[in-house]
Amino acid sequence: MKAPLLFMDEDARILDGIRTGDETALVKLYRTNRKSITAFLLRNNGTADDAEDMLQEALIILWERVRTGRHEYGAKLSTFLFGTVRNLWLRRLARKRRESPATHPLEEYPDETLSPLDQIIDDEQTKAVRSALETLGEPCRTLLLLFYWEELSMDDIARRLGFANADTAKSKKYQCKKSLKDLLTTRSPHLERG
Amino acid sequence: MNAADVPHISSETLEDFVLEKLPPDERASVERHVATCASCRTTLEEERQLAAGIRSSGRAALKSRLAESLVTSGQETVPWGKILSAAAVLMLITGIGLVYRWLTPVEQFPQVVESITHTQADKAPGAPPPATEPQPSRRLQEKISPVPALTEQTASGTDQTPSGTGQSASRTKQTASRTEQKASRSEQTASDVEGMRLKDALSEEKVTAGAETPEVAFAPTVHRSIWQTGQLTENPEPDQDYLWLKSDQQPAPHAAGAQMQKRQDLAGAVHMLPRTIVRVSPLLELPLSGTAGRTRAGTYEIPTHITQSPDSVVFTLYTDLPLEGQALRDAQLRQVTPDSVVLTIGGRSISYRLSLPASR
Repeated sequence: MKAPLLFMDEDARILDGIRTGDETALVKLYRTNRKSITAFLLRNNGTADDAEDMLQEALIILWERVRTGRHEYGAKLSTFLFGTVRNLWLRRLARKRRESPATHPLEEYPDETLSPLDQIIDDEQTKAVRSALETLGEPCRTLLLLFYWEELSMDDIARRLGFANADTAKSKKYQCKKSLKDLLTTRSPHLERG
Repeated sequence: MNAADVPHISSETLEDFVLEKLPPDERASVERHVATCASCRTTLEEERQLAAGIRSSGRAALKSRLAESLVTSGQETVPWGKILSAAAVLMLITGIGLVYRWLTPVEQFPQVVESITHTQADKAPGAPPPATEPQPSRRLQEKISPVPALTEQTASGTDQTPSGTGQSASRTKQTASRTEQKASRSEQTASDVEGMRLKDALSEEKVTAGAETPEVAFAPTVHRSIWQTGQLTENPEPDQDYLWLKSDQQPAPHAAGAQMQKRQDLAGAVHMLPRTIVRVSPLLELPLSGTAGRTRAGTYEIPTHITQSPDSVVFTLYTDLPLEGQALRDAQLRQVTPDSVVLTIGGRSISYRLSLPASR
């Protein structure tokens, strides 16, 4: 008798693993793509460390897309990772050189793998938010992560954090968000513009 | 209608806009409103920064865990898929070879001692020795100088030829006579003398029995020909109590001879083994060489079977270690005592703890 798992597409298996929260799937993807990504980075003024960093970031973007149901299983995962790494590296190069990405030869490829949030995720202000979140304390930190990063519904967040219902979770989220904004305003008054 | 005339966009809608949860028509509506509403643009920008910052925090945590996993799960040169898929690489260890005398008091294994002592007496003077007489290895022969009775028994077995000679027959007679003379000695004394010599000879190995284990030891030598790689298959020789591995490799030209040698050794060895055999501790700490040549330390579960038949003892170890090729072929069973089995695998000496059945 055939064992179906043995004949399952490797990408499908990895995607299944990610959907169920199995982080070892990322480790596997990392290992199978490291060589090609490193070769690409080395050809484009990067180092092996850059390749490691870029690949890990691309894996995390993949993780987010799969977990939030945004990943469409079309191209091979290696193709997706390569495209994401290319775009991430392009942005980093542009930032390093303080020049427009449009002047870089890699820009001829459209940036389809990065969301608008991905584009600003390394900004100074987002770093300030990140720092403030770390000092926010629980359960606010986890609640906001579940809402903004895992993109869980209020029902799911209520279940996960033991709130009575979605309305309670929603109310708590409002309080947490306000606390975070207050922290940011205290630390960086220029953020309060509205 | 002017955008300024419509109510401002709710915070929840802006969250959904930032998180790309809005359907296209609502999204377009928000974009139109924000284009003409400065305060909404500011709120939207704040919302974006919050979402991006929170998301980057989640990413940092995941990235940290990923980096940790990459470190702890081994280096990149380890064939990850191979390790996962090779769930059970089979290692077959057959204990064969010559058995030397007991270190234990005689009363612990009466049937075995009886077998040893009657071996000489039961031989008819001048009768040719059986074809399956044990052949002690040269290495252990040099290391261990048996007591006189065993020396003669071994010599008889070693010198035997299919035709036999008058000299060997005479020596057999002398052996039988001497054995009878020595029968007046206590078996305990003979065993003690042998035990002392064996202890000296085995001092290199330093496999020491635990305080509670009987003072029994047997140290068969082992032939390498028992190692093969491949899938477990049916025993091609039903009359031999071995678990065989079907090898993908071509058998060595001397394989048949090696097997014959193995059977001869076993025939002589097994009757001296305890009838109840030891069990191997199931969990072992094994530092071994992987296929990539790197040392991977860890705990591996190794279910072990030890079977015994009238003419063989088989140690079968199942492991998920990626052992193959030369490392597996070079594996050797070095020594067996009542409380340990010493193997060399991949150039490393590994001691397996054994526990004696309580019912012995």
